[in-house]
Amino acid sequence: MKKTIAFVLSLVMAGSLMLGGCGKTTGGSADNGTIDWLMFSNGPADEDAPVKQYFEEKFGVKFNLWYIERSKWDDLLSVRFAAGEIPDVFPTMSSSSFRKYIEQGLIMPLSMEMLEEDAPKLVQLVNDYDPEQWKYSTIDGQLYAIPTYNYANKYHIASVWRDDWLKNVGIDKIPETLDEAEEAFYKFRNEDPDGNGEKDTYGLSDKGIYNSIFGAFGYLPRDMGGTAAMWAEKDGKLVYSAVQPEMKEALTLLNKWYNDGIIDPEFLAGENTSGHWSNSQAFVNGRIGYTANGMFYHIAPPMTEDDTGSSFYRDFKKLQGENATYAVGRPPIGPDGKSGNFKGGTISSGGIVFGNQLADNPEKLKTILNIISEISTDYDLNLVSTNGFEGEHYDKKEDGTIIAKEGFQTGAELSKIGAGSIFNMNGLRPVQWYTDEHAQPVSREQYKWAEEVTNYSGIDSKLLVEVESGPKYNTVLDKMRETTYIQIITGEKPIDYFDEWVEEWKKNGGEQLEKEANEWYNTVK
Amino acid sequence: MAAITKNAELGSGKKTGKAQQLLKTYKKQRYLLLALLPGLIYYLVFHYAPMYGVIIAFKRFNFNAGIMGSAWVGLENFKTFLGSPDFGSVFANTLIISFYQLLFGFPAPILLAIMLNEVRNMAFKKTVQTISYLPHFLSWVVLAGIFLELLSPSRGAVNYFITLLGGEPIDFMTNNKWFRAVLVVTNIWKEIGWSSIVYLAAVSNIDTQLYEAATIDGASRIKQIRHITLPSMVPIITIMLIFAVGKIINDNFDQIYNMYRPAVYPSADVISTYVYRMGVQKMEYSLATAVGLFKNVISLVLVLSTNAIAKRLGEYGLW
Amino acid sequence: MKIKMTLGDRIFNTINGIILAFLCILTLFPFLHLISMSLSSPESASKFGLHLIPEGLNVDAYRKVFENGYIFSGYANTIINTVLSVILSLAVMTLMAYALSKKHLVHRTFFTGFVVFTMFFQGGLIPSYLLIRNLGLMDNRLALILPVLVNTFNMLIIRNYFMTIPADIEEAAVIDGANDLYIFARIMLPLSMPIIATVALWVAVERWNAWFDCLLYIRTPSKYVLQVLLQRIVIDGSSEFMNFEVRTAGTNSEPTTETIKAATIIVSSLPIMCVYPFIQKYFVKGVMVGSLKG
Repeated sequence: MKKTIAFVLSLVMAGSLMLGGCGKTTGGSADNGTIDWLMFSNGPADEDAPVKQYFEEKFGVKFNLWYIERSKWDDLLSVRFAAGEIPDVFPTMSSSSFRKYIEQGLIMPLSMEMLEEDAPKLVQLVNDYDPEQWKYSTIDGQLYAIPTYNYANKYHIASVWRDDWLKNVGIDKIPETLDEAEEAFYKFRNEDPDGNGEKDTYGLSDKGIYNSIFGAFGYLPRDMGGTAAMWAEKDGKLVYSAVQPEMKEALTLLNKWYNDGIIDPEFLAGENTSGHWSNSQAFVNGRIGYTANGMFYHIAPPMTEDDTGSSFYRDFKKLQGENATYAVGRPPIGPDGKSGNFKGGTISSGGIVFGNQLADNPEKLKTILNIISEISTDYDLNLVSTNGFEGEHYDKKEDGTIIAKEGFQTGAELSKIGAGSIFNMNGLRPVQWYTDEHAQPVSREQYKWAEEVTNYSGIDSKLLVEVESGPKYNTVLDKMRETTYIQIITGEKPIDYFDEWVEEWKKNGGEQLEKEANEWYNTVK
Repeated sequence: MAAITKNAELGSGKKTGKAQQLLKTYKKQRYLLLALLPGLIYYLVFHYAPMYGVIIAFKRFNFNAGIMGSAWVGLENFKTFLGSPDFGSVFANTLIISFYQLLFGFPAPILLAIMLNEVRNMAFKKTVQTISYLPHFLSWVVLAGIFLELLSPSRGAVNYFITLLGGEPIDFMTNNKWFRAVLVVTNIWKEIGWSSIVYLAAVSNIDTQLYEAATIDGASRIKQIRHITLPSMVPIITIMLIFAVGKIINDNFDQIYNMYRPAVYPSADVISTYVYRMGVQKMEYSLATAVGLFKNVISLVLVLSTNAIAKRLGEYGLW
Repeated sequence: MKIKMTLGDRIFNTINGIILAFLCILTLFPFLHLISMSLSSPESASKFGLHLIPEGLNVDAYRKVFENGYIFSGYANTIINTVLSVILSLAVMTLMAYALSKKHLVHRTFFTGFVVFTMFFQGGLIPSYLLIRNLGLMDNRLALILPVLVNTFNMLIIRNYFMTIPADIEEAAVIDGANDLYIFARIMLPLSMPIIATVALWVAVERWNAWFDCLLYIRTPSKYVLQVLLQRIVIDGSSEFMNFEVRTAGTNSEPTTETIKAATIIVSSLPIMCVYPFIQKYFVKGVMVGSLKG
């Protein structure tokens, strides 16, 4: 047995020596002028994709289009990085991977002077939206990315009410304050708003609580996804939202609601039981009367004559009947006048980055910057990049509505021809295109509507990067926060347990996180 | 000096003798060795050649430096994981859940195979076999949604029957008292048919004359199962058990990740889900490798000890 | 010979039958759920509860799935990979298992250890990727077959089965002067059909369901396997990927509906589900008796 082990070990060593040296030998592709191009996309492009060929001809280049599956983005990409294969240009998925790319020297540093000279239109575009963005793509004083923004995220999650239920229980205006909301919730529970003679309705479930009700106390304890902590600004400093004393008040109220049966007892399993995260099965099935789980476009009713409305709208109408209605209200205003629903925020840390091999190839970098500039600022090119060619892949109606032809509708189908989001830079386009004649009639109307119904008060996390100790402490704190909040709401632990949580939070790295968060915050303030 | 030379010669002479004998054995067994060869080459190329990657566990992996070039950090990755305040609870949860899975999940397919073996109607037998193996093909992502509906306190079929019998509805999916049971039962439900196939294969080798003789002797069906069916399954049960014990440290990530909610973290947060949330998805290669190595070493120890016990009890171990 | 059933036998059979029938019903409903989901209108998919009867008969979801440009090449690739894998794997594994099943095999303990060791120590993703690249197998279907050629667990199961076959059956052949390979092919393999069928099924299912290695090693979309498609629709469909710009620019694309997901699951797993009934014929009792007599 001992001999066996010794022999096996020596074989292992031999194997290691055999292939160990190959760890880092070849680059992604020999530099023959081909651009290794990677963007988010819903599927791979064909070898002879027409949109790809069009851009190759237009810019006199060759593209090697990478395709990385979204659900395994980091896994797949990092294996290729480890093998020395780095795309020339690619987007960052998160602030933490952005930081990692920099730490490990995978992406090249950029300079404003260079960008202003080689890509003035791009610089203009970023500045037109918000020059602050550059700060968030700068780490330790060095710029690494062309910032991108998410325009829709300037609006907060919608507060959706069953307004037919409100009428049925004798409330004729959509609740605006927390008190009014509470009254409505109690009536939803106790006065049979759906008129089926059974006490089977509730006020709200988990999304309404976490994305909206907490906001009436000034903070949201966690982000939309339910996993990461939220950070807020208080007296010019960043603070961890979930340990603020206001949250204890909020939990006291929620615990009362839970005991009174106002909160759907199944909120622990979640009101979104399957499918896309923005859906609320509990709401469309008539179990709860209030939710805050979707962006305006997730819950939009039909905007124009041939618009069918969002899938949320269609599901709701199908399941609750044509006479059932919902309306969008404002985030409820709390006792101290505070309010706010979750908001993603338009700016993020990261953006479009360039593989470090380009540092020795300024000409190639210049070419790529030019391609990005042109596609991002020239509307006709932009349209090709998203939809392909008129007549071939889509038709245009008189009012400008684009009707995609059969076979070029879904993200995967568009990717096949090189369209979709392969050449269309996420979050790099003139901001007016979202709302002026460049926008599609339906989404133009949706934005108008969003301005009206989801622009009251949004709460976004003010910490946009992962701080250094984040990976070390956050897993423990996240878990502790989630269980503590649940235990207090359901009464498994008394309200005063909140103070214990704050202590535990401090002990388990909370203060360190706060210190580091503020160090970062000072660099962008 | 001369003596030493002589001794050396003697030694080598002895060695030559041994080597010759070995050579003879090789020659005699050349067909067996030939049969072994393709497999050995496979293992060398696809397992032993890349095995140097294990050292990532002791390094801070850097993409630019590669595996060999990354800096050594000793046991730091292990410390990060083992030193986490939640390590104790996730480790305990892993062992408890896996132990239940072993205790109830291991015998279930054996029982099914025995029951199927007793079915005399071939069409019925094949139908049951085929249907019971179907759930294996559904992923936990899909099944989690289905179980959420089935076990819902307000609309689930299970709770409907509980209330019909006069009980109170149970919040299976979010209750720390029940959730582990849910994990075990749903896993059995998914895999029972699939896992029973290998036992059915073993049973199908039994000489039917044995049953006929036993029936003539007046042995009851239960007796036949005990004295004919079960003994013939022992070899396969043994080896399956050895591996099942080795897997105690491996939790079923896909199942738990898709089914759990923050409410049941206290009872169901296990090593793999915890490490996943710790940021393995954020390219923490070194940490992931360290955790994998940690689990595998424990697993190896478990397998070796079970094997030793099995060897002592019978002849069908790994070695 | 016909044996009369006793009362005890009848009771036993009835109870046994009832339990098994009950188990069938329990395991069948998720499929009813998926099938009826795939045939329902997208709007009704959000309805609470299991969907055991389709609402209306709507084959749109299937139409959509089959419109996908890669589904047929996906099928072809998956079938080719699976068949090749099963043949190659079983050839290598049975040979190896046969040699290891012989107690007199020279260095047997070492060889077994050599094999078992790999179950516990693996190099991980990065070295494997480099290996495939250095072997020149990138974008080649062999990259999906060779690295998983031998599954240690499966091989040991076969080996243990070989070990349960009584030695005297072989000895007769040895006396006749047959060599090991002849005995393997003519005696061991026919006697071991139940386990070989089982392992073939394991390998086939494992290969059919694999998708991550395809994402890692295959670059050309026409070489993708079917499960990559399924993965994209079922997992990615739940996360918002269609960026808002694209929507704004015209395509009114929405998250994949639950009905399409259900249809995709059925379309991609139905063929492999149908393999088992064909394998069952190798599980017939009395194989051994027949061969002994023959």
